[in-house]
Amino acid sequence: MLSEWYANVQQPVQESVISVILAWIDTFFAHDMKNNSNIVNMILAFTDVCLTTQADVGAKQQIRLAIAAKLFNSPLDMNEKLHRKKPPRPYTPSKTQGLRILDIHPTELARQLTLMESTIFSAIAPSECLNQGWTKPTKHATSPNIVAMIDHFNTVCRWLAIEILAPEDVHDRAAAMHRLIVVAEECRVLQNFNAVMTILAGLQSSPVYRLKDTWAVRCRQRDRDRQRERDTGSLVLSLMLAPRQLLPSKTWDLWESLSALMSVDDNYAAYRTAIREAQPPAIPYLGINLTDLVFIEDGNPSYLDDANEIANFTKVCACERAECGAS
Amino acid sequence: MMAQMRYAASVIFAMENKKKVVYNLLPLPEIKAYIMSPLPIDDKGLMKMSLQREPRKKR
Repeated sequence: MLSEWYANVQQPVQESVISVILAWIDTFFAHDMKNNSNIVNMILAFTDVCLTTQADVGAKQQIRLAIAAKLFNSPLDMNEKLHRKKPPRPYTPSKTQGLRILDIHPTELARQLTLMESTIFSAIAPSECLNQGWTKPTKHATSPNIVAMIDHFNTVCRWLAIEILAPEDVHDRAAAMHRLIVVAEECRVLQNFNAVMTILAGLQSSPVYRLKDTWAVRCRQRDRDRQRERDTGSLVLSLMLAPRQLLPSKTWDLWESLSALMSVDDNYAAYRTAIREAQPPAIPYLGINLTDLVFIEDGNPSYLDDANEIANFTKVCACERAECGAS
Repeated sequence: MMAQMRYAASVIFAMENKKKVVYNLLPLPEIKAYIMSPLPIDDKGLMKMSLQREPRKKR
């Protein structure tokens, strides 16, 4: 009788528990255990106390090996192996104090924005996306990295608005605008869609977008360039005739293509296609993901009864699947 | 509802999938410091600055 119970009940349950522990270590080690030795110690203590028979030695060893493998082979090592090439040589600004936007190469500015945002984005744990944690009063505890990403978005938006508004001369303001549009394009090349959206949002903010004279400089320049191209009939000729004046026209085209990419039309269809096709690494525009999650969260109850006693297990399973699939 | 749940799962999965590889770039702290320490001007101050640069035109 007892041996039957052991074979039919205890053993399958034990196997399930061990599977869950192994899946937990495999998927969430970086988020749950890497900086929390208490959990690792609890798992090790559990294996010591509960896996004592001769038949359990294999499972015990498996759990210990899984922890050891995670401790000594962090995901960063995988990246180090992937990045055998040296990083590209940076465009170091000529001065370090009193920097202005025109002192920095647009490619380098895009790279630095991308580095900052990828650090925050990579730190977001799947659990931060649950239960709209970033909208609650406890957001700094439940979703610290999502909040950091939102704060970063606002800081960069304000920074670029100040950079455009600071110069008193309208041509200097237009130059700053052109530079920022080129930076946005560089961010698109790096697949940093969050920065593309940040720059577009900053340029479309009321204090900047209302600067009709500044925008008009760009538009007039573009019209002149296009007229010249039409007159000469050749882009190369127009380049030779007016090399300094080609940039604004090119910048205008960039502005239009970036606006189309991040357009709200068809629920961000163009952007959604771009991010789906982007090969990692990439930084999505988090605002759209968060909006999607809010709609899904609001559209599905967490409990199936009025007394809030029967949890909506389908919802929990879906979240769990999402988190397991995230590894 | 299941379709919505699957979509939620795919949103989180897609986000996670994009960060499997880190960028291979060198950080320049001076640029980070420059971007992350803008002047302490709020939205109201920005609009004031904008109006100074280009005052509203009388119709």
